[in-house]
Amino acid sequence: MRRGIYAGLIAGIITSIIPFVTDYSFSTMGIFQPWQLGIDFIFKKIIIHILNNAIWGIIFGLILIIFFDRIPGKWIKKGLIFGLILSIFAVIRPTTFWFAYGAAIPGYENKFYFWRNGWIYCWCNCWNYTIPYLSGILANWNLGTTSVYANNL
Amino acid sequence: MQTIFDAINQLITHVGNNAFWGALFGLTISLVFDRIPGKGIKKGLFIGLIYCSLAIFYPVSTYLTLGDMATTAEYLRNGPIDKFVYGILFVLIYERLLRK
Repeated sequence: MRRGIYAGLIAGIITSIIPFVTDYSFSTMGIFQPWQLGIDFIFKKIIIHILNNAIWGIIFGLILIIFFDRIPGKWIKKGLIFGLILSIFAVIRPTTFWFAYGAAIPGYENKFYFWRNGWIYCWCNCWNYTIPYLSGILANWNLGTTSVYANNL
Repeated sequence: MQTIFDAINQLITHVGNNAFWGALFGLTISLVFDRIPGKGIKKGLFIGLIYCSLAIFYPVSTYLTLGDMATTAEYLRNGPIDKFVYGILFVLIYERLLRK
C-alpha cells in the first residue's frame, strides 16, 4: 500500500510538467486563455498543477495497486492501458459534458457552439444541472468564491 | 414551464447517459472484479467509491482548485496526455523501484 502511495506521488509530481507545457504552448497559439506573465500567476500555476497532480497521483496509485496484476500488458503497455482507463472516466467523460455545454462557459460562447446541437445536447442535458449545481454549491460553501452557475441556480 | 415532452426528454437523457457510461464502467470493472476487496454490498460500495473518485470527485475538485469553468475545461482538455504519462511513470516506478 505504501509503495503505491510513493509511486503515485512521484509519478503525479513528474506528470505536473505536462500541464505547464501544454498550457503555455496552447495559450501562445491562442487556443487557451493567454498567460499573464507575472510571479503571482506562475506561482499560482505551480501550486495548482503540482498539488492537484500529487494528491490525485496518490489516489490513482492506490486504485492501481489493487488491480495491478490484472491490467493486461507489461511496462509501457500496462501504463498506457491504465492511462486509457483514467482518461475515459476522469477526463473524457466530464469533458464531453462540458464541451456539449460549451456555450454556457463564459468566454467560450462561439468556440464550442457547434457542439450544442442534436443528440449531444439531448444526451448531456442532465449534466447541465448536476455538475454546475454540485460544484457551484461546493465552491460557494467552501471557498467563498462567486460562481456564475451558483448565482444562476 | 416543464411539459410532458421535457419530462420524456429528461428520462431518455438520464437512461441513455447512464446506460452508455454504465456499460463502459462495467466493462472495466469486469476485468478486475475478483481483485476488489469485500463481498456483496461491501464490494458494490467499493466499486461505487472508485467510480465516484474518477468520474465525479476528480473533475469537481479540479473545478474547485481552478475556480472557473473555462479554466477547468482547458485543464481537462490536457487531461488525456497527463493520464497516459502518469500511467507509464507509475508502472515504471512501481515495477522497477518499489515492487520487490
